[in-house]
Amino acid sequence: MAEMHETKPARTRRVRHKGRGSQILIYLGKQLRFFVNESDWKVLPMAAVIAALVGMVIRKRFFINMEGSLIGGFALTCVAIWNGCFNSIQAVCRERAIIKREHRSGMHISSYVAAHMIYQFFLCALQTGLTMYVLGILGVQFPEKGFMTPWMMVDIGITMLLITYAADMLSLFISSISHTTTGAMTVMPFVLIFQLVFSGGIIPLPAWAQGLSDFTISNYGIRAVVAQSGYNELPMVTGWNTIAGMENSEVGGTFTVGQVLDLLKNPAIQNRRDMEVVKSYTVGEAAEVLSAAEEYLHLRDREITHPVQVRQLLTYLQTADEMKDVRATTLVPGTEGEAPYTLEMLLTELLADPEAQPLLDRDMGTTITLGEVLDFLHLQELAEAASDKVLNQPVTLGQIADFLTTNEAVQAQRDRTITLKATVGDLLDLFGRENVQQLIQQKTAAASQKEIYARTTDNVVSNWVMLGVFILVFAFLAMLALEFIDKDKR
Amino acid sequence: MDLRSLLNLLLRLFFESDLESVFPLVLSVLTAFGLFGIFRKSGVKGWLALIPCVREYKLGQIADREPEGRILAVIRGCSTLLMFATQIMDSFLDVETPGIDTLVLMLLVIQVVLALVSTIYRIRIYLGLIDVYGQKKSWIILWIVLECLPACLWGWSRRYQPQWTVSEIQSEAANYFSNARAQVLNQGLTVNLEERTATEFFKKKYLLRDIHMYIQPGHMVLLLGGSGAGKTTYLNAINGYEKAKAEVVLNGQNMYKNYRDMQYDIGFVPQLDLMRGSDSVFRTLMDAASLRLPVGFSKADRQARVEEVMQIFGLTPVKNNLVVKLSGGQRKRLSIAMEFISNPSLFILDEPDSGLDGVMARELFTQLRQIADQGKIIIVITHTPDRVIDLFDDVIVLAKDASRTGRLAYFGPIEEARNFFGKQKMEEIVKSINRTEEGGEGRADEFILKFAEVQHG
Repeated sequence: MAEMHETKPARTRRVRHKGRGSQILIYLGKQLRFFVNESDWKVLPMAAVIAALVGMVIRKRFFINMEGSLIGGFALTCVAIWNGCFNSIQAVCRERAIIKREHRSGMHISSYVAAHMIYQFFLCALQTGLTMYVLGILGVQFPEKGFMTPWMMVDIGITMLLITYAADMLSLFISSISHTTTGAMTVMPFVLIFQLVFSGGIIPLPAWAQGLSDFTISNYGIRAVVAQSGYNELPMVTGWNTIAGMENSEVGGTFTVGQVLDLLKNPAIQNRRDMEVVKSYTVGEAAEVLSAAEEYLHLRDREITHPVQVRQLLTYLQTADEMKDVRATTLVPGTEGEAPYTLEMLLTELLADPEAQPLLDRDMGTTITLGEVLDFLHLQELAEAASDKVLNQPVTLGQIADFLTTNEAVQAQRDRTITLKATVGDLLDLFGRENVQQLIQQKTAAASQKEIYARTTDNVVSNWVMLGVFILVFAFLAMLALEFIDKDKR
Repeated sequence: MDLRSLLNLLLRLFFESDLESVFPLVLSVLTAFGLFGIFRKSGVKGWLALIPCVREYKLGQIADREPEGRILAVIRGCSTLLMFATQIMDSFLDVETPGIDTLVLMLLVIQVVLALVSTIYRIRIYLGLIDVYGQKKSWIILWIVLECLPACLWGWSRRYQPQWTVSEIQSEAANYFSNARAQVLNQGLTVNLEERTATEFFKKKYLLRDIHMYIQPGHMVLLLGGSGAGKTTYLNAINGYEKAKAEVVLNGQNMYKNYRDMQYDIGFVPQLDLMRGSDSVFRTLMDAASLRLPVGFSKADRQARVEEVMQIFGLTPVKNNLVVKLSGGQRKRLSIAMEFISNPSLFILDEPDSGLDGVMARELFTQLRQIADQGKIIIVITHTPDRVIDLFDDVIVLAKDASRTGRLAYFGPIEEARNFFGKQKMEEIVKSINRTEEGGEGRADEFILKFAEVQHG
């Protein structure tokens, strides 16, 4: 049994132990040994493989157009978040019991977290370096000149490092509040999905969810990368690509003449009044076109006279309406009681006369082709002599529009329905492909420009600062969570 | 709101059903009727089975799954609130209100999640209930598929009786406390622990109560107790890491007030070998020395101390090996060496012999005896005490009283313990205080009361 007497407690001198700074070095050493002896090093090849996969997708588009920039920004942010998250998701929870033991033995939680922060920073820096290198060798077209630094790769690299590190600290926090690795790995997909879905980058968010994106690392990451890539100065190609992809699609329908006439007053057409719809040709140009045209060569072989039999000619004279007057011609005037002898009678007798039959079957004339006639006329020489002579005046769209809208006969037909059909390609040709492409890319790009993606120093730096805030907040939260490690449920 | 709506609301509240769905309503009423009987059989007021949330909580208590019951009650409360929220939205908000569809969808998702969680907790509680009624596990299928049937059978058939009741658990609690405070000395360890509590779901739970003792320096003390008796909690309380409402004085210094300074004077070897496998033995001990030894120790001093400790614990041959490559015995010795490096006055070991064979365990305890003989206090938890009992001076026996609180059933010399419990072997002592459903004799309350009276004088 305990002895029941009281004594005064002895006074002792306080003994000092290793402070926070020295403990950071102890734990940094542990982390480095862990990197070498355990599996932490594997995150480096993993980062390279992920960068290669993403690089293969974005290399043709990043920095080239708006869509490529946005998708590239999103993809790179995903890579960074993925790398960061998996660096440290198990870092604390896998040794939670050890931390608790060491905390009991005098370990400062702040030193432990600080050692993790330093170690993870170098890990993230290595991953970012590897990622940028792999993207470079895969042929992602980084502009040589950077925006914040002299090199664009360094610009993007800094942003990637900040995103990776922020995601790393987020995972460190999750790892600090998780009691088991299974628990941490269960939470991880939710965090990743939240980061990617609510990034506000390429996935449009409903109004109520837009505020949530302000609390995601991915939001600021995408903003920084996309702004650095000069999003607002790039063309947008989706609109044009969509239209060009419909080249063979038929468009049109049934309209009234009035609708078509009203369409001619449309500013799009009015602005192109001077566009030549029918070109002006010289004789030389026409001859050149004709001489090269296959149809023309066929034309030369066309027979313009055919062999005709006598019977055919006489039958024609006997039956054709237009020859009625000719048939009535009197050959022998009539006498009293006897009708005059007309050409028609002669023809009837001749065609019926058996003796005349061999004569009737005889061919008249020979076959002549158009080419023979043209050669006979020496047309080639004539064409060469008059090669500069203008055959016709050009017809502009405005002239057609004016003609159609002012012509009374046409106006009288306003209510008449007509069916118009054309392929998208025809229309593009009508308006000029390059013109349309330029117009669509300019207009869609202008409509898609966003202030948050403005390529300004203030914008990029503010996003970097926000990522820095995330890093500090999550590191602090991790430390705070671990300070309560002795309250773990037993 | 008309009478019919009001009635529907009440039915939904109490029975999770309404007038329109007659069949579910009948099932719910039958379940409540069955639970009414089960509550009465377990010594709980039957009408509590009709009150939502309370019903779930009490059912958890009856099934000896109180934490699960509490969570289920909270889930039920949340579900009810959601139901009211939906009802209010139905009644007062226009369908065209912007965002209403999103809100309704979110509420629906929450309800689905709650329903899933609720099912899991119900299964846990039913399994507990099956244990309490001593029935086959296959009953769980019927409980899940058609709750009302087993509820009515177990509630109203005489054939099904619970093996213990809630009222028994509460009424048999030992309410006698010795309050015999051990006085403080300049040497040795004094523990005056009034209570160690934990709060779960706003409910205070006693883990330990009324433990008073004085341990002399140089004594090696065995800590005995059944599983869940609070042995590890007690050790954590006396080493100051998890503070209790207590006064713990080691060599004249209050542990709680001077924890920062004194934590290095206490060595706590946990049950598991909590070390990093990627470090070598030497690096592990060097880091432990860096953390535990005062700044006055130079690197050479620390290295010398590490070499000395490795020599004591036979770790020199494996000094460059990675921890992960060590055998079980070597790891255990390394774990002890890490704490021993600061030469602590109080050395606490939680099952240091787990995983060791008899010879190795004996060797280890002999080493501990030698350390104790240097004037240190050593407290050891072990589940195989009889093979090394001759090396111990005292024994602490902790037991769960009827209210599941860890209490002191004995503290004193080994020989007196044998007389106190009327048992020769330590393992028999543990068996005598263990609950009957754990295969013990269920005499914990008897010995707690007896020792409290002895202490009280």
